[in-house]
Amino acid sequence: MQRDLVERARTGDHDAFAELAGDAISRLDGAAWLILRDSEQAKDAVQNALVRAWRDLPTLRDPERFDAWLHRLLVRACIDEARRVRRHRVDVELTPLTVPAVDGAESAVVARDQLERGFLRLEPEMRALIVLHHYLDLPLPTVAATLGIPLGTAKSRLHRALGLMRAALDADSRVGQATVEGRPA
Amino acid sequence: MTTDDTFGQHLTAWLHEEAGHRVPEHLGEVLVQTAATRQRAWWSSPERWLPVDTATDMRGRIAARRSLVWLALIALVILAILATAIATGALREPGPIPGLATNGRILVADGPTLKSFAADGSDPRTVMALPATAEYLVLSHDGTRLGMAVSSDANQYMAVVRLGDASSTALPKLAGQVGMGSGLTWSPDDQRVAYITYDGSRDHIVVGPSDGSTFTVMATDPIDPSFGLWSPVWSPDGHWLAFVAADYQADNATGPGIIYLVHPDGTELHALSTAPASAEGGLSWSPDPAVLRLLYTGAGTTPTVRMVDVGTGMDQALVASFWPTWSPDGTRFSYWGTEVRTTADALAGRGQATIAIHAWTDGKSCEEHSELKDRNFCGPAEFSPDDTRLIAPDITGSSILSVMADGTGQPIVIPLEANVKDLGNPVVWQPAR
Repeated sequence: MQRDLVERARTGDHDAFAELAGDAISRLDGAAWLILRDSEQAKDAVQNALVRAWRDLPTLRDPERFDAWLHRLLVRACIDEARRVRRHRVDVELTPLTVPAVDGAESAVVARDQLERGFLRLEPEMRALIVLHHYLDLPLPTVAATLGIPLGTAKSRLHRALGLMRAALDADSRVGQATVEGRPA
Repeated sequence: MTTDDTFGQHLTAWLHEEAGHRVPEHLGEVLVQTAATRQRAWWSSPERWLPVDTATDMRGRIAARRSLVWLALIALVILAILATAIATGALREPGPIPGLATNGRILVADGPTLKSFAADGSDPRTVMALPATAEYLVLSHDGTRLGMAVSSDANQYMAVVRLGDASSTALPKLAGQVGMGSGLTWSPDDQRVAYITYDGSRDHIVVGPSDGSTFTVMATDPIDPSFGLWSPVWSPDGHWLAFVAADYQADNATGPGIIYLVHPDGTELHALSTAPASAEGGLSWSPDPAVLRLLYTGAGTTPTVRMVDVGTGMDQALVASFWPTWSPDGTRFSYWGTEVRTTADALAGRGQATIAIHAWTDGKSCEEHSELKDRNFCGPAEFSPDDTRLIAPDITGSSILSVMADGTGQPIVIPLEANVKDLGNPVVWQPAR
């Protein structure tokens, strides 16, 4: 079904492309938002990726690779967008974080908050790797192909990204420990 | 959230939750724009008529043609400098193999150059040129050969370089890529190496002579073929290889993994750990071949350094942290913080850690602490041969830091030309003789 749509869109059938885009836009938007964490930037990245997909679709040799190709265009668009904004961004000093001691349901909120802080501290390139693998559920070989990097590189970068998140979460947890134990910061 | 949940599962659930509320409303806007955009002709991209995907290569080729003239000019300049150096006697033979001083020397893959420094950071020497980015350095036990994972955009392989004559050997691999989330491991007699390689569908452990002349693929049939294999380490008595198998196809990329043991001849493959293991947490054998104990990082929301005794099967949590490494005398271990504990204290649940470097406690990440440049690590540290120092790349990846394991004194800073922030283990101690 999708192959048929891709082949039709590749020959200029805009209705077929509209169907493909409609099927993909939710996951593309979700992925772009997770990578960029900004609604306007995510919208721009998705738009750029889809316009480029339409423009370059005739050059796609294998219709079966449409999804991987589209994901690749999206990641590139996200990274371009992040770099564009970074050049114009004024760095804001972050408020030191404190993690309150909580139990039960509140701890889930704190854990989500910690995950968000750890994730936000990653570079967009690393966020993209995590999003492709953990959000779009792509196996690492597909992630590697999507990003145009060797599998081993994808493994080691994912390894590194999750290690950095762990380091950030551990640093968070030390805030509470430092208070409880009276340990020097 | 319970401690039984895996970090990967939490991460996946959180990502879906975060993105779940999104309702994209700009499809119409996009389609208006695409309808007004002319498609490229199919023949305008080489991807449609060349046998390989060149989508990312053509720019490089065009750029390469443009740069040929520059390269020729640069080559002429270099030749002129060399001719002048030879004529004036300034060019000497490369220095001898870096000497094994009292506390060894520090070897660093600094971009395209392997460099060596005395233990105090002085006496910098160039050991050899490297073919591309090198990481996961692992020195042979006799200190004469260095295993490394080498990667470029187009190629990846494991290599062994001989420090004496700067010769290098690429080790065999099964397909275009090797498993480069970890390095190779040397047998205790340095005659053989083991490493991970990928055959296009799954990871394998291969074992072979360190000259790369041949290799044997170990059967890992009981392990799910979709699992990735990580961090092979050869036991100090030579009888076992330990490694982590973790499901990186699913939503728990780094855990819960399982630590396996297997003899180097491929027999007696069996699971060792009783707790879920983190694939990225690292494995470290105790140095005493008479008492086989393995440090690893237990997976979970709070990663925990654990130790499993191969003889007794006892598997104990030691401290809530990760990236454990043994001291060479086997009495202590370090972990991220960066702290050091004696094994006896940790097992008995007593005593305090020695803080080699104070960890920051403001909740910020390594990336956000650039002011700690040349003062803090952000990665696993390695003990010096005499147990007194720890080395690792600094927090920004722009230097190597050597600090006293007992927290005294000031860090020794070894500046690098290349940034090694995203590389695994780019620095290693060369042992003392």
